[in-house]
Amino acid sequence: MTHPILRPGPYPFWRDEANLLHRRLFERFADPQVIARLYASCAENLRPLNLGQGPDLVWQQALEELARADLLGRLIEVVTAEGPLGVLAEAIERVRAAPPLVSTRVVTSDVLVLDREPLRDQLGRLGPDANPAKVVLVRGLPKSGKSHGRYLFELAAHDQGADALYLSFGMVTTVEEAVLWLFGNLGAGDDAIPPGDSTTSAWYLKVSLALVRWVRERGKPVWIAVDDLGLAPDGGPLMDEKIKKFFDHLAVQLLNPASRRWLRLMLIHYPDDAPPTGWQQDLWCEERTDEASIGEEDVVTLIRNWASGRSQARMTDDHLRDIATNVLAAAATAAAGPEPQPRLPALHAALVAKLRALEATGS
Amino acid sequence: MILGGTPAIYPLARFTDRLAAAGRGVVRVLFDQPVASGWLVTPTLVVVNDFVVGARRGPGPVRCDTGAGDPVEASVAHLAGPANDGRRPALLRLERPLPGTAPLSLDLGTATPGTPVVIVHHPSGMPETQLSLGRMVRLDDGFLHYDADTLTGSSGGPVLGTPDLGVLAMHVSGGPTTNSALPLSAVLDGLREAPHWPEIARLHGLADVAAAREPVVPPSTTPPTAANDALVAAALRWSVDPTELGDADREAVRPLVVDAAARRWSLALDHRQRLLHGAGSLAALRALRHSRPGTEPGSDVVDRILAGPPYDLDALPLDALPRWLQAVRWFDGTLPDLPSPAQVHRTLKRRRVREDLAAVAGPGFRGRTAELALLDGWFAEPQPAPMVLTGIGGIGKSALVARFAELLPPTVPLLWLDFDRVDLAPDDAVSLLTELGTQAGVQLDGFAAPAPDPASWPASASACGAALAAVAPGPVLLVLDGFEIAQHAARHEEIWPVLEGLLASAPALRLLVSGRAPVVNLRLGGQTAVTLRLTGLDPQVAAAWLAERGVTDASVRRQVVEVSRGIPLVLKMAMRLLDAGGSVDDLPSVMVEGYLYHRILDRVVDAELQPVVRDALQLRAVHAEMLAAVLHDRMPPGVEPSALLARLSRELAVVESLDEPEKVGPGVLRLRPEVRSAVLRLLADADPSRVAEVDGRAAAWLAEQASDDSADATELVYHRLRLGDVTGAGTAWREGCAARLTTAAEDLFDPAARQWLLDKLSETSVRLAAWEQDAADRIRTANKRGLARIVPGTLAEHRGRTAESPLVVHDAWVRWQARDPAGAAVVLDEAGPATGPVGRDRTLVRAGLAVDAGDLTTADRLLAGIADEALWPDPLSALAVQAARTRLTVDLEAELALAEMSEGLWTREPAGELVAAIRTRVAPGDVLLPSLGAHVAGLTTLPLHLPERRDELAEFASAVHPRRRRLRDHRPDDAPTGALPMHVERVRELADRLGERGEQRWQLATTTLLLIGLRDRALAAASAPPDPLTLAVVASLAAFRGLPLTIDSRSVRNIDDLLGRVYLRARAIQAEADRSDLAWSITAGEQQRSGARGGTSSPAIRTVLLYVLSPDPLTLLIRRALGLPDDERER
Repeated sequence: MTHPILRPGPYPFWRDEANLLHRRLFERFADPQVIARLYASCAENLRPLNLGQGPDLVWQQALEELARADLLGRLIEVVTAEGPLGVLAEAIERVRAAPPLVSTRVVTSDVLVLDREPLRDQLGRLGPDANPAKVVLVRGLPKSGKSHGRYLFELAAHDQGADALYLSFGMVTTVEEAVLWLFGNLGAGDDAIPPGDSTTSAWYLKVSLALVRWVRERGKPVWIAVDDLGLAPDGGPLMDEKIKKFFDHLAVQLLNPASRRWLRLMLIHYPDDAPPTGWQQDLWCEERTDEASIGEEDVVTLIRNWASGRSQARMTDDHLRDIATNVLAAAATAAAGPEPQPRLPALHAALVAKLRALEATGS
Repeated sequence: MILGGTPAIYPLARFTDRLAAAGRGVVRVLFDQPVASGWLVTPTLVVVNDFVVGARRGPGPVRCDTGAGDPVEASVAHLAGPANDGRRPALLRLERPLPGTAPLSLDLGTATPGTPVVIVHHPSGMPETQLSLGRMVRLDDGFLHYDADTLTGSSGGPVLGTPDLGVLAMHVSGGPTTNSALPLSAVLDGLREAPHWPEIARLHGLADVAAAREPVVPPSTTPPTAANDALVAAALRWSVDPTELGDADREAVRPLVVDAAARRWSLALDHRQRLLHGAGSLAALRALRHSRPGTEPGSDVVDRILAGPPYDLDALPLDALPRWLQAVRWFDGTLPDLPSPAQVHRTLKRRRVREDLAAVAGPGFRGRTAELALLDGWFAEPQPAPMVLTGIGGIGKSALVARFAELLPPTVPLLWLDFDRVDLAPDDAVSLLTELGTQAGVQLDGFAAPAPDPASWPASASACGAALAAVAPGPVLLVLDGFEIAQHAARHEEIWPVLEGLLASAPALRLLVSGRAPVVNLRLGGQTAVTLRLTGLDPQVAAAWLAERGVTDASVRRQVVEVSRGIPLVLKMAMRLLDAGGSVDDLPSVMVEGYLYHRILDRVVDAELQPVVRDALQLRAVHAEMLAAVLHDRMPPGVEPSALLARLSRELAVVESLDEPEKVGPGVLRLRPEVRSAVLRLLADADPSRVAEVDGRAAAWLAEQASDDSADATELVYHRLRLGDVTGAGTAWREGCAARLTTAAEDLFDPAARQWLLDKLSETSVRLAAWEQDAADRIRTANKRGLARIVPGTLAEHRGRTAESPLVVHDAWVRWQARDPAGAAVVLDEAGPATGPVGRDRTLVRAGLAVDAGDLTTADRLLAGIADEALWPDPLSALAVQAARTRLTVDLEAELALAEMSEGLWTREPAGELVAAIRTRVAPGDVLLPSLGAHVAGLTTLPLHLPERRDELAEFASAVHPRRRRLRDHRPDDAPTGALPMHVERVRELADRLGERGEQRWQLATTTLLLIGLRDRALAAASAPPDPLTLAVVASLAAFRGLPLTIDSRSVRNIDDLLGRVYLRARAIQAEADRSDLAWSITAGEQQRSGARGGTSSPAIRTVLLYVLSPDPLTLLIRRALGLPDDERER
């Protein structure tokens, strides 16, 4: 798993740890000449800094350049060699210890992700360009949490400084619409889409290449999650199967190292058949969801995770377990009620309600 | 030595600081006399037992002190009730803070039996604060039982957890075997009832658990059925723009949409279905739709559905059906006559079979009358031979076949296998049969073929043919389109038998193969294929086509037709040129450039590389120096050759993957032969002087290298032949060239040069070596795609093998997998040694076979012979060899047996015969199991520093080996003097074996850089999830856990600590540990034998589990050598 800050890509100013490092750097090294010296020590042939601005802006530029060149780790070595660092040392330690976003459990107050450790692990490994695995297939029974994994996929994308897109049933109906939607969401005009003047497969190939080229020119990777690719319980497909076939072709592009840096795919509700014969075995990994997988320990971990970011929310393990039992019982009641609800949505709703109740008490 | 699993070793300074702080939080409670202890939860609130203040232990005011005099008066701030049974704490409020005191911190975690605890108290009212040490014993009846000593007056003393010394419980009473304390959660529950709770909660950041414990009533996850009109109207639309909704409607719709962050909102299916179902009736839906019509694309589909039956799917436009597929699902159960999604899907697929042909043929399809007539005649024959349609790219093969199929009667079933598709491959029978079954199923009512079985696909092919013949007795057209892809990769192992099987049971099948290259000697169904070579369009047809597109000048038309030779793709390019205002004089170069960019260079992702790729396609293989020498005038400015090569290496559309550097040499890129063959003639036609220039530069540069390397000589021969220099090629020819030039003749346009090469290649041994290389490539590709089942067939194509054959390892592997390890060994032994990677891989597989046969000595000897890093493409693989050797020295089965047999003996005094037998044979460093290692005596428990560098190895060895020798030298003469009980003999035997293996292991550790390599890899793996080979390598470090080796790292102490961290990163191992019976039995056994605490939370246990559950490095090396994926996924 690549480090969520010390990795190539845009400098993650959206993270507190990265912001703190920036602040401590310009507080500790405010002289532009010193900044330039430290910067130049990281590597040769770096783009020159604009030293005619405030130290905060010089450092901002330096961090952005070094992050793009995967030299933040080297910067830390260089800076550390400068002697006593005071509070900068603490900022460096926080950066080093920064947890990946993909380990998050409370995504928003309405979106909680329990468990899913194998998926978090797989998504963490999807990041490094050198790893051939670039596609995650998510399979499982209805209401077992398949679609919910997209939130982790988005977090993992942000860990890598990438954008994330999500496409599902209802958003598009044909492969042409799916392609338009993809290019449109990436800021490309219709003219960026190659015309379909040959066989369908040949067009898929052309579109895949055009998409990779567009993303590359855009300079920021994109992680694409596509949902509802399989069959409904009635045996019919949810979406036109050409949509799945297009993404099957796009996935093959990720065997190509020139493309693999720019795209990742999460194919959700993927059919249970073997993946396309043209995929190499190491191109993809798989998560199988299970409605019964969530237990007390997962709920405890989530509440503890939620509490750790708050000023007055500490609880003993015994109390955490009491609450988890309470939440699981509420979900079980809802699942067995007169209008039975699927277990996982009911559990999610109960947990959201519980955290709201805790928040209302001042926690 | 860590005893019992969890290391209980703490930094002294931190512990003493915390202990001092703990002392500052404990007070003595006095009436007239000291009666109890208490602890500060805030600076002025003291927690005591309820019975201390409830029963009034004495007259006078209650006071508190620290034992140092000057007590401070206190008042009872809270007393829960009359019970006074120690289950509810009481609170005292000090008049003022006691000098030098501070509140204690709280330990919110869970104490498990065995956890060390500390009680700080004033037993018997002693003024000086006292400390007692013990362990938690159990938790029952609402109390925590522990075994630290207490006396009267200890009540209320805080029981602190280690090592942080936060309050875990409060002492309540003593007992005969254990003392009792009220757990912190119960203490806090009691304090929560006090009016002072907010003050306590604020200081310690505690949540209001009482509120949290209230039963939760989750909101329903289903939307309201009696919804408002806005929601139902939204459910009738494909998507809505949220900004067009009123505030209230927007907030009502928001929770029901798929993605609230999207620019347009679509309702989630289950919400949509429920809303529409709840609307009541079709009339109600129509009325609502009428008042709030949809305008977004696809609204006509919704309106048509709401218009009611009959619904004739065949009458709908084809491109509307994908919308119907989704929309009918919205109304699931609401509109009874609506077709089901499965019906829509089947109609869509069936109609696509023919209607998509129009798109392939193109709306402007013209001419080809003769070809269509020929195909018609062929199709009408009673049992025609297969037809092969060939022609260059862009000639219109697919268009012709599509047009031909389109014109067939609608009753003729059409089966079309397009090998551009990623889910179809001619070497994967299952993919072929699955697709054929699907296509037949949608066109033919009653078609039912069993799902193809990978293990018996020939039978599946026959069954598919029989099912086809049963429902379609008349002619059926089967098209194999884009077949050149399969030909170039020589991957068509399974398609011909599949077709034979189909034809045998469905003789009415007409097979039409379309591809750029001819299919030589194709014979199916007992008939030899006929070939139709497609050339350009008839000049008149081509001219008419241009005229239809507005080319009014007849001379221009004539010129275009002449230059384009009637090739449809070039005609289209010419039209684009003319439309853009270009001149027909530019057409020759536009034709080549257009073709190149349209078909080849457009696949190069990095657009800056396209010019250099254009010239590089003349070279078969290229490396950085050659780039600089040959293509310097095409290189992007400012880019170093090595950087350019790295960028090129990522363009797998034109170069081959670098994952097999041994095939072409390190740092060498091989241009894809099928791409080169498609463009070489075009390049020669377009700019012959540039082509000669590139070949000339390449030949000159290669000649200057003066290398004996046959790879360089081969390329020199190649470029000289391209230049027509047969004499020069003859001079450069070396042994080994021929195997590399087997397909080069087609690149030579000089007839003499071509013939010269063909003559050279006619020798048998050369042909065999070339086939072996090709077959090895195919096998690796098949293995990577999980198609190992086709490997035996590939190997059987030729029986002979050259001395350096890369196929021998595959021959052996196939036998091994067929449970014939002896046969596999014979294959390797008969083949004998080979050089380079081929020889290395043979040794690897031979070592695997030796392990399989239990011959560990041979396995180790073989592995030692290939441990040199120079033999491997990367240092990790070389380290994996040493890791594999390490694993050979571990015998966990023997350890478990010994541990079990010796259970209960260790504590006997004096040590019995069995114990002596073990202790004089086995050293702690020889075993992995913590329980066994803890009992084995003999070596020091003083830490040894793990070596950092090679020059520290000698010192390390001098620390390890003398102790072992001492052990051996002092072994008592325990040779059997008579018949010994069987189990004594068995114990000696096991102990001897472990001792011998231990000796080998530590020899390895003290004579190689193994430990240093393992440590470095493990440190990296502790911070990022390791890949399988790294994990396999790193886990081998566990073999050395028995000695207290310290690791010089910021935070890692020893091997258990390090591998415990790796374990936490390896989630798959953790999951396996939860499932595996072996893991359970090891964990449970260790806990039982040693009383080890914590199960898998113990680093020592984690280390053992990591070792047991990690992949075997030797297995992984073998699998990688064969091109197999690391795990055993098989299609």
